[in-house]
Amino acid sequence: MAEHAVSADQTPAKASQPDVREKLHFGDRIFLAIENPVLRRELLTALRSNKAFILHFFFLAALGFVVYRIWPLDDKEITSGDVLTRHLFHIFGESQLVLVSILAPAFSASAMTIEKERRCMDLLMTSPIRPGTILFGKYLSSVLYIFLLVISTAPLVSIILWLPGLGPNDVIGMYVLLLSVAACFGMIGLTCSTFFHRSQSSLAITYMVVLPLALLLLVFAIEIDSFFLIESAIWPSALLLTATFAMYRACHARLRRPFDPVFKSAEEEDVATQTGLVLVQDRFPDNLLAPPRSTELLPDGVNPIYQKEIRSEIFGRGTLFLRLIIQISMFLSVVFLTFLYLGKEFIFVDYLILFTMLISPAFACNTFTQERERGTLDLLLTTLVKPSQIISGKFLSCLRLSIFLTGLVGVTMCFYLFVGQDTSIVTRIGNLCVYMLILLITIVFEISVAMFFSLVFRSTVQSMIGTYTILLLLFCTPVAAYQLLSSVQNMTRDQLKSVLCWSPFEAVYSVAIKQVGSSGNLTENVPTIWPVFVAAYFFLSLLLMGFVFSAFTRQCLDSTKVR
Amino acid sequence: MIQVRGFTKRYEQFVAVDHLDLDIEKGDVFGFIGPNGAGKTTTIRFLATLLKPTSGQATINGYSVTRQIDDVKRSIGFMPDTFGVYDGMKVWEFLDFFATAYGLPRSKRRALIDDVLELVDLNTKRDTLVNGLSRGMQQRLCLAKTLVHDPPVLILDEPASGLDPRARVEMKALLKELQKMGKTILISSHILPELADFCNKIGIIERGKLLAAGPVQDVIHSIRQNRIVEIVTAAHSESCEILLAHHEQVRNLTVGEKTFKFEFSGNDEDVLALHKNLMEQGVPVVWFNEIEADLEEAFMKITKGLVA
Repeated sequence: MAEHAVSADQTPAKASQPDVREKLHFGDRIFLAIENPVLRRELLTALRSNKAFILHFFFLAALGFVVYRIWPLDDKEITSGDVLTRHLFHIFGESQLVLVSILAPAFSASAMTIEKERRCMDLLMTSPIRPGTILFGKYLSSVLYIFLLVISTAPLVSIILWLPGLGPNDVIGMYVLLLSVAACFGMIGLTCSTFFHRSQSSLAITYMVVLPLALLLLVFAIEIDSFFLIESAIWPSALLLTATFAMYRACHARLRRPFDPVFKSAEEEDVATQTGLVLVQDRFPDNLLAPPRSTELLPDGVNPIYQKEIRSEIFGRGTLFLRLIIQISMFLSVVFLTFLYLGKEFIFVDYLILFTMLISPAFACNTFTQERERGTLDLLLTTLVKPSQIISGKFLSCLRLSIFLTGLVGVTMCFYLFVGQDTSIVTRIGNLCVYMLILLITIVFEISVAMFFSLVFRSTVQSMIGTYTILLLLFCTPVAAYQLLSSVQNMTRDQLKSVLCWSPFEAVYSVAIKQVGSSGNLTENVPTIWPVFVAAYFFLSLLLMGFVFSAFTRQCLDSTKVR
Repeated sequence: MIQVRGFTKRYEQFVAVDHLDLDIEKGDVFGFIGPNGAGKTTTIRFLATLLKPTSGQATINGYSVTRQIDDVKRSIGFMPDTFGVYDGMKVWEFLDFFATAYGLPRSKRRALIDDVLELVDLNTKRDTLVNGLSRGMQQRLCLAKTLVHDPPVLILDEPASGLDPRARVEMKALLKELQKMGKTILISSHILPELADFCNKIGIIERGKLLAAGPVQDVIHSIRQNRIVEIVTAAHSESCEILLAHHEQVRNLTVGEKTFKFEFSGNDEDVLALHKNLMEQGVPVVWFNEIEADLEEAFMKITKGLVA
């Protein structure tokens, strides 16, 4: 710590550049540049376990399955032209784009924060390793594995190349774009990780930035047939790489200044004040998020855990993080608002679901891990507070927070009652209620999953990545499966309803399409899956919370397992 | 007040604590010492109801640690070796939270919070955010938290670890104050001289086994059976060296320029006889002293630095 307790009048360069670095021989510098010790350590620890192999296997297996499912069965289809080939190639490219968008931030968003949380940042910064070397090592180790994943799909692409209608320009373009996406999204994660002090904040903000960008790229890839051609792909790639370079420079500049954990809160608040991102606990509407700080003692008979969470823990997480979430989501909601006027309100609701997918786990995935990580769990467990009070207090505070933030972003949904001429006001009120029910159940399930992972995993980062992975798989796989099977094997929603009912996006669509269908846009029979969705996720949430309660109660009696 | 009978904790093949028996009377300040990994924290966590034993039983204040958990929790104030604080809370909010968690009525809480803050000397920091406190102050705040429900038994695991010398002295003074208040205290620490200062009983544990337990001086004497005697003469005395070297009760003689240090296996009368003998031989003795045994020495002697 002492090395970093520099006074304000010291220049940043002086503070982070101990004399020893100036005395390095040229040979040492070359050694550090080539044999980047940070990169070596990161790669060694990442690739030593079998997790990397397992992930690689599933990545290739998923893509292999896509190719297998959509591969034409007879020669007639193969020779029938290049439409099918291009379709196949696009689905392959889009699938990779989605997988890279999910994986790249997961690898990089905690790269720096984890060093800060383990208090290893000081050790790194006071070693002869230059900040640039640390950053380069961290960055390469985060994206190299993703590069490896992307490049290892080449044999699968070479199979598609057998089909007529594809040229090398497509393949090169796709790989240039995918590698640029991996480079940029990885850098976004690393930037958040450099500027934020908690992995949780860094991960949530990274995904909040990356997912809309990924969605945009996906829309372009779906809509523009020549998107993966090198001539087209070069432009978004150049843009992404320029942004990557700019972020790299910003991170490098930040790393040249010391990280002092004592002043981290003050530093975050400074950034918040400078950017106008200040959350004032005693002011409306901020006080809806959490009650204002009280000067009175807690009333008798209240759940102290709920009170603690709502009065101090929310603000202990950093107001900058909260404010950023609110600002970014509000801005994006304005964009999505246009869909309300176009009569496609389900897209706005889908956006809200996506928002809850980001926000609810961000607050709930540290339910137990945070108490363990900072060493307060033992203090709690030796009081008379019951496990049920701990779980319900934490659950309800997360629910309140998620509902408030979703409500803040989704309040404009009320316009839905006044637009659209195809349906009566009664129908629209009914639909609105169903949308709210779907959102509520989705939030409850997301919190349950996050609390489950928070109990079974040791760290918040593991818990968060586990939660996001399961939610993305559960909510998005049915949609992807339908898109794939309907285009290739002409399967209908009705045939796939047992799969589709697991996705809130499809549940929302099944509400909307009933009334949109009456205007003539309906081209197929859409089954009403939302009641199944609501019932299934309600019981699943109950099951998960039951498990959390029983496992936590057992752990309270023998907390060696918890530690 | 605290009774442990046959406590064993096993993790598969690894035995952390092996058939531990312990008796701590009301008002005792019991120092629990042992090398790292000896089983101190395991025992303490068992007593704090945080650990299920593989076998064995314990009672605190008459309540079973495994069956009457809530009564035990009411009877103890527990301070773990590593603990954290809730960053976003003020000092009084932190204590109010724990007081509520112990089910104390609001009408009593304000006075209790004021009292414990006074006791740990944090009353001027009442409205300070917890993360703004120094490490020593946070340690004292945690101690205040353990006292907020006025438990008769305090279980403190390394309460002075990581503190600077001043904070350690303050912590020691605070523990002495609690001792005067009649609390029964079980404390583990690595700072042995300080433990010897205010503990009336100690227990030494190594590799999960209790090697010695009882009043501090009894334990020390049981470990160090021989006295250590030091003699300083006015000038180098060969006759003194010859006399000591041939004395049958003298062991491990160390001779300096004017000093003689040795282990002496005799009783008080033998010491007197030796002293008289030296005088008769005309040895110019200016200093004849029995070196007081200390806890550190006893600890080093009885333990082998092994972990379970």
